[in-house]
Amino acid sequence: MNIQPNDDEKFENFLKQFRPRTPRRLPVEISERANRRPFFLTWSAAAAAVLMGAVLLIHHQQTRIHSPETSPLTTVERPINPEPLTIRTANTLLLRTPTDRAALNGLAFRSPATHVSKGKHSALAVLSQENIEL
Amino acid sequence: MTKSSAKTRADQVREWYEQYGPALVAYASSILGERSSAEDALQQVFLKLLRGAMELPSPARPYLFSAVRNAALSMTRKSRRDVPLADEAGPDNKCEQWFQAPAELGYWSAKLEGAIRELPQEQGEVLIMRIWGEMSFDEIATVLAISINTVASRYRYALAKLRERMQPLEVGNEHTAK
Repeated sequence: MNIQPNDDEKFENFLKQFRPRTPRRLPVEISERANRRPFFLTWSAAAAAVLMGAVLLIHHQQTRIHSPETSPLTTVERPINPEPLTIRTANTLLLRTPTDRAALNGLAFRSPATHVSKGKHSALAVLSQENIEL
Repeated sequence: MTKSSAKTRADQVREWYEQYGPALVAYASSILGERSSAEDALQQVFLKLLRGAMELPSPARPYLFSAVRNAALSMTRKSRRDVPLADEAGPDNKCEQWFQAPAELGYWSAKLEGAIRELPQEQGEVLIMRIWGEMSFDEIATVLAISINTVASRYRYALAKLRERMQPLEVGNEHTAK
């Protein structure tokens, strides 16, 4: 078969036997997704709000867990020393806590609103009244 | 726009893509020199149509060729600023080939592509629009904003050069020659 035509028309017909390759599929689904954008955005915003709320809640709970009021140190100390701070309770705390640091922390994080029962004295109150000369 | 009219528009655009896509991508390839960028240019144009960024053109064919041409030229200007990679896939890559042909014309497919690449761009684009876009000289003149005589002249030159480069060979002989 001689594939070289003799005139323009034949050559054109010969060229038309070659078909340009089909391009890749048109991403119609992308366009359709774009048309649904407001609906999609609404749901995304709602989901993001719920997620953020959950994260804040978890964060808040973790903060409470790690706060001094609920730290392992104070939860251990409170049963040991539920009484108001006196010389005796301070000594007891020093004896029962494993380290001096833990005992000092136990003394430091006490509520200032603690009331001393009748007939007892607050060590801090007694010390604060003493005139110590350095 | 109602949902039904949007569907009609999408169907129309898809139909044009099926009908003119192959010729358009060959046309863009002749401008850009490589097929993957040509497909990008083509999709750029059709996605704009799908999204309703413009009215559906009538007649469609000259408009589509014109739009793809503009997109391809725009990409050419942009790519001039980019440094080409040394090992970019050439026409040997099957996915990059412009044409598909019956098995007995397989060799000629690559030869034809090479011959079109060697044509001056203004002749190559007229040839592709005429042969594979099946456009009249009048329509091509509209797309390129030149006179019909200029279109006819470019076409004749292109055809002559193509014939010269595609030497008369018999298919059987060609296979044995390789």
